[in-house]
Amino acid sequence: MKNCLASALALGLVAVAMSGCSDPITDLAFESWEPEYALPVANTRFTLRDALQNTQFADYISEDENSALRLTTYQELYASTPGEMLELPTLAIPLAESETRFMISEADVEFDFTQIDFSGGYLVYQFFNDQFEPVTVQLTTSNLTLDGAPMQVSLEVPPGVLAKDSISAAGYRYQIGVDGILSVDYSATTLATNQVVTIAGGALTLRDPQYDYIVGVLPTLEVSMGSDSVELDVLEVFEPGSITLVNPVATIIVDNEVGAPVRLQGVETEGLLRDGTRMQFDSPLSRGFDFDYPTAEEGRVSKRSTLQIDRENSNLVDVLKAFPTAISLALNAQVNGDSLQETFSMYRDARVAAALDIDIPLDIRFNGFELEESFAFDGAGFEQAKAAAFRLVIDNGFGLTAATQVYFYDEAEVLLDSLFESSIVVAQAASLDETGELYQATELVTEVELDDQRLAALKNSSSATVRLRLDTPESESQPTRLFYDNSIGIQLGARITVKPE
Amino acid sequence: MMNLSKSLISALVLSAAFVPQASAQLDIMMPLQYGWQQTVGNPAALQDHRITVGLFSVGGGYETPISVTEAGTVTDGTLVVESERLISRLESRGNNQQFRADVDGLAFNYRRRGWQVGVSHRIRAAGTLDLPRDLIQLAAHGNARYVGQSLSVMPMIDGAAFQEFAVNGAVTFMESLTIGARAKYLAGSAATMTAQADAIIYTDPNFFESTITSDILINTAGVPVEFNDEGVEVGSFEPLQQAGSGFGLDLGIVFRPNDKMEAGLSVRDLGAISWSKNARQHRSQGSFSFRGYEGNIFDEQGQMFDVEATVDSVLAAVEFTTTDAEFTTTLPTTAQGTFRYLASKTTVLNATVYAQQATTWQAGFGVGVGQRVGEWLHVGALAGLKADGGYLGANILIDVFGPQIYVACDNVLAAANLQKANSAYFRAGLNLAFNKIKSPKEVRGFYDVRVEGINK
Repeated sequence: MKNCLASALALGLVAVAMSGCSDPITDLAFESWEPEYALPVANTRFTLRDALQNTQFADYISEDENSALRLTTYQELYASTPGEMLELPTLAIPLAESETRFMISEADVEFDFTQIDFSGGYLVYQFFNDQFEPVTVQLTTSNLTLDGAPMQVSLEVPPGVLAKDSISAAGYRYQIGVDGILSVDYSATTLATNQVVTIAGGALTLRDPQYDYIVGVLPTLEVSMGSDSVELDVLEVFEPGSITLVNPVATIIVDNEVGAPVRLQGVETEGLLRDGTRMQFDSPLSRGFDFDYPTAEEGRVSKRSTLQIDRENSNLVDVLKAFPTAISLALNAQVNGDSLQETFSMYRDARVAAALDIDIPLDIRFNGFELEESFAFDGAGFEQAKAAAFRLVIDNGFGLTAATQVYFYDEAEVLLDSLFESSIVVAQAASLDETGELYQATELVTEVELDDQRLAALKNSSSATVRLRLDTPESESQPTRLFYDNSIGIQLGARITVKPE
Repeated sequence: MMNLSKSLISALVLSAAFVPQASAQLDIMMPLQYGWQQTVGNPAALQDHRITVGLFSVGGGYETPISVTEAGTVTDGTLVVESERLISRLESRGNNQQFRADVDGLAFNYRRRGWQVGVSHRIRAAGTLDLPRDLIQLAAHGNARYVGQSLSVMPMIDGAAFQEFAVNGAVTFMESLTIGARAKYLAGSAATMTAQADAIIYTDPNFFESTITSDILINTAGVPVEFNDEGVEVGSFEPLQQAGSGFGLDLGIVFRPNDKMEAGLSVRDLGAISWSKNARQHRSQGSFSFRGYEGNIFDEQGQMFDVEATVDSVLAAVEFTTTDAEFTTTLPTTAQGTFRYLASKTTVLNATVYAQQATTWQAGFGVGVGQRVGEWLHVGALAGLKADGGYLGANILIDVFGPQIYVACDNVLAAANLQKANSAYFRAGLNLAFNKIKSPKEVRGFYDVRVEGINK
């Protein structure tokens, strides 16, 4: 019995020991397990250079040596040559005598040139033989030379016939003295006996002359340059009223190789507004712009002249404030408009070109200017988030107050929600010195708790758009000057509370 | 991200609650019970049979600073972890989850008068996992609560599996003093050793920039281990391969001033193993900061703000470089003293005190009683006290004409409810004992008090 009890005790102990392992834990759960993670999302700093690099601003922005920004647009307006403005008339010189002294001023032409280098045209000569036998006519003039040699031609003329012939004028130089007399001599001899005879006469005609170079007193020439427009794409990114341009300057730039005074005059200058209406653009151009020209001594060189159009001498600021899509210019050119009796020289292909350069220093007042940038944003990372909050730290090196809003879109680019109920100020304007340069950045910390609706939108989003509204601080009396190297630092962190599965 | 976190905390909690361990108390009853295990506990302990054959014995146990019920509540097989309660019970460091498992193979011992010699074979595995409180806090709460603070999150993992081929011997002097020793050749199978474990996570309060500073050195051997972007890859393991070798030594002394008292002292597991096969050193040293996206947000392609990728990049930042490097691990040395007093012909009172070097020195104390019941049954009980509380152990030995079957457990409460136990150890085995040496006064319950004929 005693042994039996002992055996039972032993077996009981073993059974108890074994039973201790007989209640396995098959599953695991967590009470109130909602870990919250604090994660860095972004730590980035961008300069204006970065921000604008891919915008349409990029084509128009330039910077000075201090990296101060300016919007500039440059467009060629017109280009012309004397060959397009001035055509030489046909000149006919009657040869009634064997020695003719012809006063150019008596001819029915409007030029008073002392030298013409021909590149084309014809020298046509004709004689009528009133004798009874054929004659040979020799014509010569020292006022037309080829490589320094006087023009000399001969023509056989049958009896009773008006014979004509011509040579190319290309390469000939027309040159007359201060007396304005063109001298032409001819003689006629019979073919059979070589006797000098007198014939009825003839003519020397300069027909369809083309010139390379002319020297002389120019008549006043009026040339219509037609109408052209300067596209102002640079202003398309601005909404009317979003900025105030403080000191824009438009400059007419003329590069002139023509050795004669030319006056450019705007006959109809207008701003073409977005609504299709037009706004009169008053500027010194309407009163005419005389520009520099090379003298005959200087030869063929280009002279630059500029006409500055600014707030003092025009309504440019008013026109640009209306954010026109283009400025339309109809121009006339006047060659020697003041009828100067001076000797000018011109190459036929000398170029006179005008361009309009509009320069808008970014000393501007921002009145709600908006920048927009879209990002891929995978909201799936927030799928298990029960709550989320963002902490945004912005240090602002721009002289502007920044307010932002973030919009979330799904894959079909349907707007889901915005991050904030309305745009919030995320950065106060930095302090600027009297020249507009930054001397103290500002830092602003913003924490945003997402409500359930916004969190749901965030989870379903596949892209986000950040819209940044920039304003010049109300307290600033001066405009904001922007520099390429002004920067904004963005540090974004997220707190995400995970919901248990 | 979230799955990862949950997996992490699951693994941590489970390891905190269930990782079996072997601490000093695992062996606490070995020198107090009869049979071959007594000599294993103290090589100076003489067997009370001329021939003892250890056939088979398995033992295993664990110790954790947090029991299952301390970590949460169990309902219908589901452990509901209460994070705050779990964390409140953790120290910043030294939360050692320890395990040990032994499989004793064949052993042979020959006893003649006051001396004995023997040989034995064992397979041993032991390990320690120290989970820092910061890691549990990070997994339970996330890092948001600890913004502006530094969290030390690197666990320490140490462990080894090896075979032990031993020769033991003992000799008695002056009738009352027996000294013994066991020399062991150690054939290592696999090991991991954390030599340096500093990984600090700091989350800056400004925009939560996260910085991980690491100074980590982990040695592994026997198992191909690779640290890569996916985490840790562990190759296949052959339990009986030899990846290292070494020597160990157990020393013991037993003093019997009279027929009723016996005092013993043993120092076990002096020695070390040098690891050479697949021996690698994995080092991470540096500082890694995460600031999220740092490019130009105005790039034409736009940018992907992927929170999950951010978390992954943070976790993957601790990059390891792996090089071949041999290393040495020392055995977990144990010192144990025992005292036994024969209270009656069938009753023995005993006491034991021990100290063991796991990652730190651990100590414990216990008192017990052994009772012979009838001709072939002996039962014992032991009440102990150690750092994490008291425990109650029991053992049974059935000795029937040669075969000895024994079962021992150091924490019977754990046996009744494992989920409440911070530690438990269980051992069972079978010995064969032949040619019993007659003890004076026919007392079998008190082992070998002045065995007749010793030194005579």
